[in-house]
Amino acid sequence: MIYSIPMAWLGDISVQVILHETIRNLYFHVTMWFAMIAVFAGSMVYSIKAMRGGNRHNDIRAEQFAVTGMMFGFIGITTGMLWANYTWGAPWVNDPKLNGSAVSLLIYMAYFVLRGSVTDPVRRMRVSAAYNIFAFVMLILLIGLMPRLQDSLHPGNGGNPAFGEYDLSNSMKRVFYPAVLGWILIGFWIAGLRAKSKILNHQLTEE
Amino acid sequence: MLKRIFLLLKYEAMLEFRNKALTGSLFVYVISTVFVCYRSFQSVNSAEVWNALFWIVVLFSSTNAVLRSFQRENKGNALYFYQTIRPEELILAKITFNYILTLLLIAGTIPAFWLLLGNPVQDISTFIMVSFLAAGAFSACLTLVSAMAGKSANAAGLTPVLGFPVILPVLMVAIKAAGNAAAGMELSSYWDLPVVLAAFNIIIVVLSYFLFPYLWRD
Repeated sequence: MIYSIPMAWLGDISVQVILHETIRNLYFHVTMWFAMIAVFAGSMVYSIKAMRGGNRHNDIRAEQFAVTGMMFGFIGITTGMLWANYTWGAPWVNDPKLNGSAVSLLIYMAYFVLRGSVTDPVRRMRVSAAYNIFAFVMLILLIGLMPRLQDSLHPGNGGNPAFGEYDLSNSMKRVFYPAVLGWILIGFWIAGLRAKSKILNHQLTEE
Repeated sequence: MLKRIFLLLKYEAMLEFRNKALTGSLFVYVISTVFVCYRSFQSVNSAEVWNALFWIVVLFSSTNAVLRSFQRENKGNALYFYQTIRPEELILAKITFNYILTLLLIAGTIPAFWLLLGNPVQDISTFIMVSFLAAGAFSACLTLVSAMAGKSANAAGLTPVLGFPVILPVLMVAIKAAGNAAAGMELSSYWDLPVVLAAFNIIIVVLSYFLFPYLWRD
């Protein structure tokens, strides 16, 4: 938990600096996706560890990272829907990035369903770890492939100008990149705390 | 290793085709699904709808086929395998067998669609090539997922839940490529889509190869 203090501090910066225009959503919505993917990646790393080492604690960590990633995913979708409602006129449009995010949430819901339906803990660890790894790889492929298959309405895709070209001034960049980093670290922090409490709980019930 | 995979393949085929009614049920499933589509749509005028329907039917019927691959065996067999062969060999054999089964199913689905819903596909050879490539990715992906679902109490219900979100990228590439073939576009303008499908095959098989031993261990 040594890294939690500078992390929370960085996170604070990202929350406090708000431009009162719709572009301020950039700090929240876009960073959510970065954080979600990073936390899911963390979950996968713990799954690999759990699978190789057979350590129950890594299994708990993988689960809690996935929970946190889901949380970021939901926030990302909500902020995106708010933004889309004003700019595209509808909260949900047929856009590859929206579909990609919906699929990623479906994948992790399936992950929790799988965890819920296997009762033996060791078996659950192996099976859910394998699914987590498999699903994450497919998710990354999906995200990487989407733009090739369909134009996106998102800024920077399909002939839409990216924010970076017009609006993203240097001062905003100075906030945006720390914000990305801050949210990622906050994600890891939350997930780490959750995992810690679960692990303690687990140890208590075992004793 | 290849020899043992081949032996396992033969064993799988023997198990599968011993009960002809079960194998037949897969084909009846396809035909009745296509018939349901035919009766609900009356006629399919656009190639896009035809294509989408085709892939949905293929997805569901291949799920149905692959689902059973880990339920066929009883406990004694599993124990015997556990001592005599490596898990990598088993998963490769199962994937190969399911691939063949899915190909057979697709070979049954295409004529059924032509007969009942017409044939809007212009570039037939490319369409068939795309569906064969997609069948490989479907069967490999579903085989691995059904191995996972088989560890739970409710394998039949869990396989689609786990498999469909994961299979979606494959399905989207396949629909896009098959749609282009149906519209009669030149293969050279979208040659990368079949290549992506082939890459999916390789990635999924490699992942199964490495992940399955951990699934199998208990």
